[in-house]
Amino acid sequence: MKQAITQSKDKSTALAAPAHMLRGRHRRWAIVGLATTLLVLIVLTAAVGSARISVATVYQVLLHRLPFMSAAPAWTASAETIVIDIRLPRIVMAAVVGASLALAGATYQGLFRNPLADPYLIGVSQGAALGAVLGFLLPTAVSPVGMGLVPLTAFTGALLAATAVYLLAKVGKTLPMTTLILAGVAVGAFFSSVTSYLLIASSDKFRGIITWLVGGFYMSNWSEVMVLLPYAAIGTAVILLYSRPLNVMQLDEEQAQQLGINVERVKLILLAAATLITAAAVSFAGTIGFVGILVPHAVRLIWGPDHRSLMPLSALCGAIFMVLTDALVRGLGMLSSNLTEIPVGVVTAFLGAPFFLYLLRQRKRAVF
Amino acid sequence: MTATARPRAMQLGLRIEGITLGYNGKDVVNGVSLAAMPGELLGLVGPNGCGKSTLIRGISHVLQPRSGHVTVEGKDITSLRRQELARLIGVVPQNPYLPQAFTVLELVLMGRTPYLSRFGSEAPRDIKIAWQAMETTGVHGLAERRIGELSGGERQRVVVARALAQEPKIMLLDEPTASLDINYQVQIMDMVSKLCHEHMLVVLIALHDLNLAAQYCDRLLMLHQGKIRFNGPPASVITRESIRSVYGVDVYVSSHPLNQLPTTFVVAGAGSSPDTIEKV
Repeated sequence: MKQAITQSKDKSTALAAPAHMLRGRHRRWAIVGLATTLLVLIVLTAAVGSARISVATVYQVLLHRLPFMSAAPAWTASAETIVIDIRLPRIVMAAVVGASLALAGATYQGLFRNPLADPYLIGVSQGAALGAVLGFLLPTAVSPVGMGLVPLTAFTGALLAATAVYLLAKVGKTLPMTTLILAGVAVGAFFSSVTSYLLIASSDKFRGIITWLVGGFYMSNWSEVMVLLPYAAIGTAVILLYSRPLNVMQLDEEQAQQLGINVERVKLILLAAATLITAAAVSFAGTIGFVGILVPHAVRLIWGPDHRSLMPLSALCGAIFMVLTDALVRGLGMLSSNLTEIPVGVVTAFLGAPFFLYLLRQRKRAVF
Repeated sequence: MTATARPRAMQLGLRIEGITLGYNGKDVVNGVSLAAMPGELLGLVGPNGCGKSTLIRGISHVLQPRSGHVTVEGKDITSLRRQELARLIGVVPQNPYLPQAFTVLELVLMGRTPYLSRFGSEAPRDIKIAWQAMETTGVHGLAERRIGELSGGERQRVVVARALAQEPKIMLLDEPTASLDINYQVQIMDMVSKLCHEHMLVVLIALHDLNLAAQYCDRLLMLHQGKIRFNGPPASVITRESIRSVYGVDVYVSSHPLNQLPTTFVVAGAGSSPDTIEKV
């Protein structure tokens, strides 16, 4: 009997395949589940808006667009135009922007080892906004090719802001919470003030930029989506590929180096990627705050701190969050025809700011 | 020709030749040379600021030496990529920052980083090696616990397991017993000694407890102001004279009643008047 016990014990240590202890093992299912949810939500929320179009109609219109599915249309041409050319690009834009901002937030948080880093709170969004406004004011901005330059000028502005905040907030080798937020607020305010001046000083035709600046999707169209997508795709790919090195960098820089990570290079690549997708998102949706902090935090609470889970799941949850928020905005617009649509950025700040304060106060439970 | 003609033993282990390094142009380690063979437990002692941690930073190449060479297994560390170096040298830093929300297993698996391609993830083999390292240091029972829930001794053993998972030839430990209770001190040192002699690792360990150093190390180096002042077996390094000249304090040194290794006794009042011990 005694022998049997020792034997089984030896066996259990030898066979101890701790793979089941790795939290990342459910990652694939979570990704599939959230991606499906996102697709379903895209169809469902396409029924939300001032013109009344049922979910069934949306579904049929979309199905009709697929190859070999040409059933006789049982809907009006205007309904099809609204779904395909107005609502769908807007929803897709919201999804891409939400994913980008959440991913950028998660990346900044990982790089700065600071759970409060958000593209908006650290001033990067405001830097991007100034860059974008300068891009809009360029004489080339009238052509679609010129519009394609806006993400680049926004990227330049965002990169300037990120570098400034990083240098200002750095104390020795660390980036403390307080200095990061203070530097972010200061740099953000500085860039915003220049943007405001430019908007006031510019002629009437640029006044539309102000509504863009508060954050929203109601001017989105397919050509904008097509300009945004490559930037978002490149930045996202880079961030996903570097998520394991980013895990190791959650240790201090010295340990990461001693474990074989080329810290300076990874930092630079990830900073550029996060800033690029922030800039691309801001170029088309204005400054939408707090998504980058709300979403990754929730994902970390549920699925743990491993960036290989955190990154794809934050992107999907960010997309879902933004699609829902934008649908909420459109739904509120349905209630009254003379009610001006609330900018999405107002809603995210309304939800996100109290959450941010809550995080700032409650630092007991380690999720980071 | 030179590489093959040289005796093989010359290429093994760790070799430091006249290394000088420091911070902001100020040298902290000044012309240190030493050699250590596999299976040798080398202790680094000396007062605070004598350059123990800086020397460890230099060997692991997180600090660039101003002059001198460090060779590991016959290879100059400056010619190696970070990833290659991390396969040879595992480091247990002093008070390392560890992210609280990762689990013990996740943290130890980070030790496999030098063997993974940048975009790859851990294979079953990596998990197995990490698990063995955790069994060796006795933290496998804590695999799913979060780092934030561990005691100081457990944390330290997790970091040693992480360094072991790197499958290094050389292990550098910077005061791994500092601020631990005596039971953990003995536990960690027993483990390090076993690793060194059974896995034939070169182990360089910085310690501030002279008695612990004398009990466990095969050889001791006593550093003072960035230079090696004494080098040899514990009995020749830990003497009343060496401690007086390096630490500037008078102590009583005797041999351990059980194993005759040098043991240091402090005497109250000896810090201010050097002849207290004579009076006693």
